[in-house]
Amino acid sequence: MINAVALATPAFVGLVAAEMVAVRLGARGDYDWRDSTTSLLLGLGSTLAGAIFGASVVAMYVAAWHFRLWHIPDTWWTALICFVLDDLAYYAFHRSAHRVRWFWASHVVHHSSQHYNLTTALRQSWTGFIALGFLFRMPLLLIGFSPRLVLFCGGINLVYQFWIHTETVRRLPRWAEAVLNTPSHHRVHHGTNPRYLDRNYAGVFIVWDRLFGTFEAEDDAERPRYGIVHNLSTFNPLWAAFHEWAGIARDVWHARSWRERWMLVAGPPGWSADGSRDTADAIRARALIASDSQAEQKGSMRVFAE
Amino acid sequence: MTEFLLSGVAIAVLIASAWALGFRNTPKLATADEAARLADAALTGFRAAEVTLDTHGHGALLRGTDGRLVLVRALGDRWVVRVLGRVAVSVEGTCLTLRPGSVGERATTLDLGSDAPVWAARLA
Repeated sequence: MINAVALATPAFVGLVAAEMVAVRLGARGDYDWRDSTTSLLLGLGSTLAGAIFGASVVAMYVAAWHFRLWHIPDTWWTALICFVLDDLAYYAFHRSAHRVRWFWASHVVHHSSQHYNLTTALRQSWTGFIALGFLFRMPLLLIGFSPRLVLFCGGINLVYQFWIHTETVRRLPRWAEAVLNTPSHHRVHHGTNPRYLDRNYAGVFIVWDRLFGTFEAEDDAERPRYGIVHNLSTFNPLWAAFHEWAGIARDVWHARSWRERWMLVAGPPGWSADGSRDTADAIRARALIASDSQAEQKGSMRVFAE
Repeated sequence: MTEFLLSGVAIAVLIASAWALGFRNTPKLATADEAARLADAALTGFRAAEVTLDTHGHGALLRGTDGRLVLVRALGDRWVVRVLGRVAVSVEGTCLTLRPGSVGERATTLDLGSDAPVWAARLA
């Protein structure tokens, strides 16, 4: 079986080094050696987690494939169809990873850097297997695509997403910005600015976001502030990998009802029974109110001046 | 195993490169406005009523118009903003040390000059 990610790893290392030098020479972007250390160690740990749990995922994919509806051969054209459908499955996974705390507990790791550079792409979860993210690809196997093809397409998808984690590339040609997930679109995805929160979930094709109403274009007047709503205050990779799981455990322990426990696990990140914390929707709504009230104040000042 | 070791070596080289290329800044807060902007950005809708800067610019304490007490402190070359809840405080001279009770939060010491005891009393 071809492991696209393993094959691409030397290129990842070379491109990170090239981006560092480019930024030092004046290209747009930023690095911090402590932040990059955490990102790279999380990437290494993720590889290790993949080695430990990968066989179980393959076994489950093969088991699911035995119940397939059709037999789809591995050809170049079925590979293309599989790649597009796999990207749709990735969109569904990724949207859930931001909207359901259980999935977010694993995915938050990737967003926990306040930097946006090629090392951020390597800042990957160690707990994807526990979060059950692999289930989102099951429909492809049940349709009849082979596990080998599905895993190959997933690998290509992941490799594609590496290079878009950069500030160095501003915009691609218009056709590419319309169809593909680009550095610009993905910068929005990593932004914590209220208007950028929970937008642009695409893996390779940005058309899914345009289709399902989650697209937001990057506004050059509002640079994304990278990271998470409640940024980590340590570079410890262990804390980065497990902090949200610890948060779930703590909250569930203190919850007063089963409904509350369910919402703390399956509700959106930031949900709390007493409303003392903020979901992305609440932050966006508050920002809208604040901006409306500022606009109103400016309007009344103008009337007063007239 | 060899792949894992090679990855470890590559990581060490990249970290050393980042350090050697000078990506090791420590940020400094120059003005109260800057601290207020950081807090507003992190806590959408937060309005600072009072700001006390660390004399070396390593952080700030803010009181919001809504009564919330907020800490801004450096992490690497960026800033972290925290609404302060239960926190142990101690004063030594002009320095105030905050020790949050929660896991994952580090102690922070700020030189607040003559304002240190005022903030200690607020946070106690």
